[in-house]
Amino acid sequence: MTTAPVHEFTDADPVVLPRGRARDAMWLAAAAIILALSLLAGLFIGDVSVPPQDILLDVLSRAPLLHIHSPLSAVDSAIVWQLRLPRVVLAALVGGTLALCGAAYQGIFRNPLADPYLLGVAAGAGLGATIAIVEVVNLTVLGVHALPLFAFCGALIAVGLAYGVGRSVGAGRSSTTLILGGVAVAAFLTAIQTFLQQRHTDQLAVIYNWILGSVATVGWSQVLTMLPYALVAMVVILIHGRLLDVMGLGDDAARGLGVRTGQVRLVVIGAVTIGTAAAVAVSGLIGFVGLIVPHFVRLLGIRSHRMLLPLSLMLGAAFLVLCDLLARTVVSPSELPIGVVTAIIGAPAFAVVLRTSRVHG
Amino acid sequence: MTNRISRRIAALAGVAAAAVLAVLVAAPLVGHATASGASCPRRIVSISPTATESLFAIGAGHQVVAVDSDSNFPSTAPRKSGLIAYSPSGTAIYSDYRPDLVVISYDANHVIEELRAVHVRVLYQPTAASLRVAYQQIRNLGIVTCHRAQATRLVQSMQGKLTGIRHALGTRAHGLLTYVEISAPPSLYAASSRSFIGQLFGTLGMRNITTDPSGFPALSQEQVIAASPQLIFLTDHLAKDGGVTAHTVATRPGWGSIRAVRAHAIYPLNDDAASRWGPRITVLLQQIAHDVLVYRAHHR
Repeated sequence: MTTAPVHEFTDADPVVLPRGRARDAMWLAAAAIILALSLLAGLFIGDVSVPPQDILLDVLSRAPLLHIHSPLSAVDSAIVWQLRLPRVVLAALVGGTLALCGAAYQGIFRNPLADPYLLGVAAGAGLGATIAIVEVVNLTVLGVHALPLFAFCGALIAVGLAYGVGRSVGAGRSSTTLILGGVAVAAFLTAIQTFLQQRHTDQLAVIYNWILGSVATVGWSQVLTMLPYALVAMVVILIHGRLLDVMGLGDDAARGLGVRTGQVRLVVIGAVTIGTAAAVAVSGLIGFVGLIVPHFVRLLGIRSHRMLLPLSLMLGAAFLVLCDLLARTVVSPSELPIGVVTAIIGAPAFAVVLRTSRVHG
Repeated sequence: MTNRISRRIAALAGVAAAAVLAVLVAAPLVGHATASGASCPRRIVSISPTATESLFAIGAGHQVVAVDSDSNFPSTAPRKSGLIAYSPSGTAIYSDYRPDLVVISYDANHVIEELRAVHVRVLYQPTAASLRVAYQQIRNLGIVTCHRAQATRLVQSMQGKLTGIRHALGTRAHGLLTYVEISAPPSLYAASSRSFIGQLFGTLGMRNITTDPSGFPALSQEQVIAASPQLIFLTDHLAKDGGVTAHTVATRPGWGSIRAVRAHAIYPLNDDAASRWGPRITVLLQQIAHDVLVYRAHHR
């Protein structure tokens, strides 16, 4: 979504300090509690009032040997488990993935203003979705909806192009050229998308609805579509936490310590691309999550990627669940696009980050 | 003496009431068309699908020279693809068709002002708020186009059909809770009991899950599921409106718990008839009555 100016961490940035295991465990437990509370809020709050204790009793009634009678009616049960739960889970999955990917990119590019859309994922997915909306008559391809498929492929192609452009001018050794490659590709693809929109003004509302993002689900299908890609991205990124810490010292220093920086960068970019493309494919372009959540975690004094990554994952999930709660309750029964909510919260936070980066830069 | 004064007062009150009624009836014509003293129009342009249907139903079809692109009934109407109901141009209408009467339902782009500037009579008939207004609009069309008797007969015929439908249904529709879908999730909109189409259901004694005064409120899926209507009517079943089907509705998450879904009581409505307030109101009512009878045949 946003194109970050190039700003590499310097030696003046705080040094990564080892932390006690107890303190790490405390942060992880706190993040887990926040995530759990936000999930429960998403499940408990909605247009129709369903008493939280009834929902909890319904959960207990499903446990073996307890013999508890569920007080939920069939209608309330449908609202909670078939409408709210898939939506809450999808919001958590998308939010967690975007925040984790943002943290990874900020580490790999040593740029605090990087977000998951840095290398053209948003532009590629936007063009893919636009093509699906305006050009594909039958919106189902081999049983798969064309829109998420096209958005996913568009995102992958965009990052592939950006990487190719960046590498052709030496991105193997510098992340700066890679970022500039992403800027060029994003500008080009956005121009094509704008051209298509101008030729199909009757579809503008559909396109903009997708661009502004939504985690409104049609059941569990979006969750199941995204889950494998998100899991792969999460695992790959999380196991690279220690290497990202080393790369934070600078490419030369990292190479001196035996880290294959080019290979690590390629693997992390691949994982981020797959995770972000999957998130965008099922929920549209939701901005700011991948940018501000890692910074919020850093505000807690956490610098090591071994902690930054899992905390960003959990707090990003909680953040988007709460944003979605606002999106569907503020103007209820209508809904705000979730991208509007994240932007309203994220833009001021982004401004603070810019100001801070200028002060320290 | 007192009785005579009372009778005079009553007579004066009656005359005053009649005068007020006459002004109310004539107001649309005085306000929106210079019908009084004008000759019968011979070049009518209709930029209202409802008015097009009414014009042909009262026998004024031969006076119509052009209708908007959405006026698809009757098929003999001279439909012009360049005449868009929601973005008409007064000067283009005047230069292309030289009309002596234009009937419109939506004053977009100041079309009334433009047409009046070139001395073209305009009859403005916006969306009817009730059956009574719908009938009055047909009568007004009859007056302006010199088909007053046919218009009166048409209204009487419609009223007769409505009475017949009510008799045929008896109390079988009374109290049935309905949901009338205008657009599908994620932008879920419904017709409330206060909309024109909602009032048609009300005339048969049916209830609506929403009484929102705006007529077409946004609803959440939770609200529809919680209301659990007994019958669902779809106005968005055509491909151009979303292509919603009974299967689509039944497979939405959580909707399986709704009584109408469990009873397979999901019915598409005639798309045109559901969005117009002209002579085919009775076609729509007949369709609704048929659906109610089908429902009642299986569910007492």
